[in-house]
Amino acid sequence: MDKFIALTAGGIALGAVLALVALGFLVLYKATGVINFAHGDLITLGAYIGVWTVADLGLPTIPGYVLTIVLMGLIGVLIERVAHAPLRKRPAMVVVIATLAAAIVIRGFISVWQGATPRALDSPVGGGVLRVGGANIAYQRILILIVGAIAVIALLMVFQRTAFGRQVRALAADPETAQLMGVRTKYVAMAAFALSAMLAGLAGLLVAPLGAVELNFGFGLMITAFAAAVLGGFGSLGGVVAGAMVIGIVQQLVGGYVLPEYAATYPAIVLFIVIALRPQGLFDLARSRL
Amino acid sequence: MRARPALTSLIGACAVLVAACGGSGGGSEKGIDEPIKMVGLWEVKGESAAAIDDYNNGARMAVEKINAAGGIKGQKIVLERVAADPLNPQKATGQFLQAVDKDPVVMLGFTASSALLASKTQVDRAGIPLISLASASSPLRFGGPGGSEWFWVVQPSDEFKDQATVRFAVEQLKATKIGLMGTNESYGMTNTKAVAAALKQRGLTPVATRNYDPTATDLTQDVLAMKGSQAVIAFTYPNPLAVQLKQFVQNGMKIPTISSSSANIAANNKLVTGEALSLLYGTNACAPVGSKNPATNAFGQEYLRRFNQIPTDLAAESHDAVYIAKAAIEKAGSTDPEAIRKAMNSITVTPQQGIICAAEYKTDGAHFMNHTVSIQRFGTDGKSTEMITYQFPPTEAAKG
Repeated sequence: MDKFIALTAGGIALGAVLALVALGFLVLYKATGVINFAHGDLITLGAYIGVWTVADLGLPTIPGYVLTIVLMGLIGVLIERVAHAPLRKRPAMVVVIATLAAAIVIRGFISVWQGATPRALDSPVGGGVLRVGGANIAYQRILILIVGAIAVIALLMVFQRTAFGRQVRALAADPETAQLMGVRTKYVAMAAFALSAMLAGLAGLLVAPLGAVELNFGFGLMITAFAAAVLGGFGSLGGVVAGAMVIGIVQQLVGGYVLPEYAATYPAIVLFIVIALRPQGLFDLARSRL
Repeated sequence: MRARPALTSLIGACAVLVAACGGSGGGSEKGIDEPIKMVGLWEVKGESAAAIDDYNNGARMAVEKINAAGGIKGQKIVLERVAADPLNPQKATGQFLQAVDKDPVVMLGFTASSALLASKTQVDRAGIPLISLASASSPLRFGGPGGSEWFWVVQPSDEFKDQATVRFAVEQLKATKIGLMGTNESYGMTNTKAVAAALKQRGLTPVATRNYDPTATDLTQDVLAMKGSQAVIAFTYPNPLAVQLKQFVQNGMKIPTISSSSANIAANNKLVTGEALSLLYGTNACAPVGSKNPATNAFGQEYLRRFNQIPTDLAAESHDAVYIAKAAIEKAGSTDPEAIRKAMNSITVTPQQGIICAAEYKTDGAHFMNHTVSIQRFGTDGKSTEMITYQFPPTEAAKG
């Protein structure tokens, strides 16, 4: 039973991180039609900036993390200006390729800045554990769950109750009509890139204390989160969060009991099955709506 | 009749030209006043995702020491470098040819065996001695399709490292219940299989074997599978090693873990601290800081002072590769590649000749030069202490 509890807790924490990453994908996709393949490297960059602000500059955890998130937002705007704005009239595939180029540039920058040596980011809640039903659950995983839930609720509020959210929803529903109605796509795109990069940075900050930060840190998370986003139908926020939870729990629980060597491939297997049986995703409750 | 003086002049000019070319052309002895050029095939920080400064720093320290002491038979060493990406073996041939264009006496490097294997044909063709810093794996054995009469390897072989971890776990930690963990790609899979076979020879079966994704951030399932183990042998990278060690402690499992050079990187960079670190052991050629050998320690302290970083065994091996080249050139009595090749096959390089990371380097049938592996444990400052050193017999040349 203790193994089941530990695996379930790990699965939920993984699902929370995947939800943050997948929502970063979704926000950008809905606002601009772009799938950003630099997202994995933005997760890595966020973690490295966190190491820099907290470990190198010596800032206390909360100001260090806030500074990291702010910097990530600015980096998101920079990517929009360089890799999206000049290509806005071009086919979406051109912009997708530009995001791949952005990924290479980010990776190169980190490589020159930090090198190949892994770095550590201490957990703000320490290395302790909470004992539940005989299983030990690390405080950091509980923190991931709480912060992830707060971020998702905050995001829902932004989309439901702010002008930015209404504009993104309008663009997602009908881009041409939204522009005719005066939605300022330039500013919405900049804000969406910033928000997406901030979510990537937050995911990086939350996951880094579990192990260490190195150049490939964000790549695996990006791929798994992409599977979660597709599973959720790339439509509603709730669908993507549910997709992320399904992926996280399947990977941990099924991987814990059946063929554990192949646990890393389970998200891809789930993805293939869903694409074959239900191409619109499991949770296509409100297509093109947030 | 008038043509004869012109013809004589032409022949004379050609003779002078040939003589001049003969003095400095590739594949023959360099002039006595020329510096001895060595080319390092490695990267420095920022050149790729896997680039580290250790190889370059270690070799440059050796070159500076040798030159300060008068060079090799009065000739100074010049060390140049070609960035050889360990992650892209398909680029290795081109990078090797760039190094050949620099017309070196000896080449040092290729830090990945895949790069060395990819450029093997060019290595044979160039006929320039190459002292490799790649991991000494079976495919590189001389006599086999991947081996060459022109390269030698200074790292202890993977097989020695596998055997050393098993011996240490069984003989020193007195473990009879051993778990195996590793990444689910070539490095982790190959070595976990090899160690499982080594355990079997001792009548032991692993408690569990788990191979996981190198980018894993949660190893709960794999860690819990190790319950009941008295020791865990792990073939993994620093990041998942840190995840693994932290999760052992979080789950109340105080199991000693023996890993490779990832252990040194994890400890040096404080990826794990406290109890997790106190249960970690590393398997390497040497421990530049914390060795029982004063010369190794002196190198480690000097490196730490100059570069503000604890050196890995890779830095020490790179340092030693320069001294091996020096010993071979001295024994050959010239910079002629063929003479150096013959010398490489017969020399024994000892600490008295400047090396710091082995009791001796001596070429065996496989062209592997280091037959010792040491086990280290770590202090809270990340510095390692040598626990025990194992000596292994020479490896024979591959057949066929």
